[in-house]
Amino acid sequence: MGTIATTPTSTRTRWPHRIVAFFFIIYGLTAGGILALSISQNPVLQPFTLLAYLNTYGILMPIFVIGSALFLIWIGFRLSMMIMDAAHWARLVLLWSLVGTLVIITQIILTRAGGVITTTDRAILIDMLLQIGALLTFAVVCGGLIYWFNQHMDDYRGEIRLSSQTARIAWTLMLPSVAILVLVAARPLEQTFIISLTDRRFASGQEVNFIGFSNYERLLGMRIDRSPCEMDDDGECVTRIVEVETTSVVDLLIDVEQVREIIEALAAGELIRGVPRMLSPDDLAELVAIDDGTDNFINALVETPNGLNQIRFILALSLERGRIVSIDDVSEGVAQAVVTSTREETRIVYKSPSDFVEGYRAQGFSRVAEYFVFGNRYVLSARDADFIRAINNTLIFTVASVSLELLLGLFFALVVNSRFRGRGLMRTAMLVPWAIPTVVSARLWETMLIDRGAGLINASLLQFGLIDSPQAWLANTSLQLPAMVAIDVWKTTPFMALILLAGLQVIPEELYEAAEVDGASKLRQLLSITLPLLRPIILVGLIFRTLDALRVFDVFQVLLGRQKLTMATYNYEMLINNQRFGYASAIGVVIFVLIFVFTAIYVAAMNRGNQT
Amino acid sequence: MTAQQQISNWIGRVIFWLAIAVILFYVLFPFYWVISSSFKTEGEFFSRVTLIPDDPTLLNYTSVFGNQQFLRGLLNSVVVSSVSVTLALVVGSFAAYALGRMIFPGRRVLLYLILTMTMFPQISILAGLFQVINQIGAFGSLMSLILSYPLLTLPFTVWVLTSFFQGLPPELEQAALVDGASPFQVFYMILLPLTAPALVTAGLLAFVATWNEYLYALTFTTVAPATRTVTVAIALFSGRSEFQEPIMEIMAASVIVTVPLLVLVLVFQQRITAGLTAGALKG
Repeated sequence: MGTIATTPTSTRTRWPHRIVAFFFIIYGLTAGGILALSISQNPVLQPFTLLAYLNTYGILMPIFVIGSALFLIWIGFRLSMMIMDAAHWARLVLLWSLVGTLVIITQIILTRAGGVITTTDRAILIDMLLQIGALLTFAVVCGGLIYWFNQHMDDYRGEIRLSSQTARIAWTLMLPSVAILVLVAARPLEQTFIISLTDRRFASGQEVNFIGFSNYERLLGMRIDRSPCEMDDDGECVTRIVEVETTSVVDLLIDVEQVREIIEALAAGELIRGVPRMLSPDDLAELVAIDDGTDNFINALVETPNGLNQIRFILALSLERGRIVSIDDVSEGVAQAVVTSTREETRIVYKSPSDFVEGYRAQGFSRVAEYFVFGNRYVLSARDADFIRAINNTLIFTVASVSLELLLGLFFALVVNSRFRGRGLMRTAMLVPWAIPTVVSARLWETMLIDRGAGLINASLLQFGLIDSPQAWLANTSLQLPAMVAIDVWKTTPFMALILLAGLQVIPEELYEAAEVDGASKLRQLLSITLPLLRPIILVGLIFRTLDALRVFDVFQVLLGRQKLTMATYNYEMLINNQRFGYASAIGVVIFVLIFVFTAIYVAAMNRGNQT
Repeated sequence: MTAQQQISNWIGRVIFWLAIAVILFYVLFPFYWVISSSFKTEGEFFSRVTLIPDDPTLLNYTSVFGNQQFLRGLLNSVVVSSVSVTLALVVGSFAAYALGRMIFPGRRVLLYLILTMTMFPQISILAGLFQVINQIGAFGSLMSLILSYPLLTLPFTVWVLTSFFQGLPPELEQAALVDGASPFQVFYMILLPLTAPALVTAGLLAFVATWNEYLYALTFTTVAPATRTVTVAIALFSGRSEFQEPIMEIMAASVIVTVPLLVLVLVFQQRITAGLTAGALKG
């Protein structure tokens, strides 16, 4: 039995295969090399600054390039060992590169073509044509290599593992989605973060500076200062700070008879040198008429428009000049009568920390709110009080609307869960508020909340005697949040109800039947069967809605504009109306982090739910 | 005993139908109010509360249909929504097929990423997206919205479709693969027709999401009123006089914008409900 000595073609590494393997290594090295060269030679980066680097290259792109370069080099090495699996990967990578290059060429043509046609500058045209030419050459090389791989696939050895083949197909299928999500989510997020480190503004020729995290410091800068307060009789901290103010009050204790003499002289039209006649003849006459030997005269004098000044003049002049009447007669007596008394006044002063914390105002803090805890007053201040207020508004809105939605949604779901004719119709009806655009629902409620008799809500409340006069729901600051909550609850309760309903329908009927047999009341069934079994779904609904409510924008923007801000509308205001690009980006990042934390909790909860 | 039971049964039924009536009223009345008001004259609307228009008029509708900005908005919304939905369905079904029917390295991470992204806060990347849109040169064109809406539609579409793909029996493609079909043939000829209901669901939800979108539409069309979508048109509705808000026309416009959605809801109620709850239940 002779054995046929066959030498598989694949054991002989032929030169084309070497070149192809070499091509991949070079491809990878070039990608990494071009990046490194570009970073080291770029004139924008001379001298090197972090901001210039981030603006030019970002964070994702270098990671992607380095990762791809390593992957390509790895493929190259495996190709040189004639591994079949590597050949398949290589062909796929070439396909991706080909498609990617074509996409880039299309993009260049689409975005630049208009400009090139109108331009007369040959350099730009040549530049563009060169770029497209280079890319096209690369595409042709990729295409040729794909063709070559199809012809020579059999030269490679080793089996194609199914899992590896699946991975190739799966990643090819995933690629468009991943690329789009990178374009619309990852890259914008990266950009937002980079911009948030700068003081960039829109449409200003002003230089952009790298300012590190100071936008965040400004946004989130908060401090709590304790300031003392005093208990009143009810044990409440009403008086914020009792300030003892010492005021010197000059009480004029006057020898009435002396003054009277002078006034009488003035009234009689006698000229007394140095004493201006500050009172009208009528006043003087009236004063003289008061002659009952009591203090009424001096009181009346003090109360006349210029009475106190008149007294001061009389006294001052009589003391200093001694000219008016005999100084011995008058001044001695009057001087003794003038007593300067010091009076202590206690006043309640509303102090802000700026009055007693050093540097408070210099660091740009302003008061946001104050709290009374165990007899102490705590003042919360922030550098950007508006943002902290916006967070506060958002949180109040979220808690209020989500808890109301849960209660109402549970009620809806329990009612609709029972079997009755027209259930499908009922569900359709419940989808109506969900389907209505938020902008429309905002406008719709706006017309119902009109603060005139014609406003439906005001009219009904007036009819039932719940309010006395039409309320300006959207203008009155204390009614704005409740109005927003009402609108949101109307719009999103159906969503909550439908989710809960889906959860209710999974609960096996037998449980209720068994409970019925045991004589458990409906309420008992609700508390012991329905709610515990519904708990995971309730959790999911709550998290869904919380995440939605935290980023609320439409209702507030349409109805309240700048009057009452949420985190989202504040971000929009800063970006579009205030043109503070860098600052708005920092707000965006803060919101992202906040919501990401909630999302992570959600995903973790889902995961736990899956495992049990 | 039986009589007593009958009575309590009867009371229960009354309470139940009362509850149904209350829910129906709460859910439907506000929209009814807008519909009825949109047929009123301005004088009637502002003078008193009437449930049925005394003197129904089409004046508000003719006025809205004469508003170029609004008509333009309708057209823009139709274009943007249909392009985004198509894109999301085509691209998303590929991804969902991979995630739902194949096991490959990186699958779990991708699944979590997609799930996380269904809750992506659009507002937080407003500034960065603005920058990217600007760099691409799409600012102030409908392209800016078509490019940014996949953020709303794609993760959700992938998620819903993936859970439907997972629900299909595994024998389906095994048989086809044994018969020598390529994975792409399996996808197009066997799985895709089967997931038609899921595609409808995902498409509807994506359509509603893009049709109702306001934040990006408002931001990216700031400088180009001609590219405003219908939600922005309604939010910024201006009438003949710039000093008075044209409430009557806004209501007519609201009805016009919402009617297509309501038709979809009426026709596809079950599919929409399934889609809305898919994320919550199948986690």
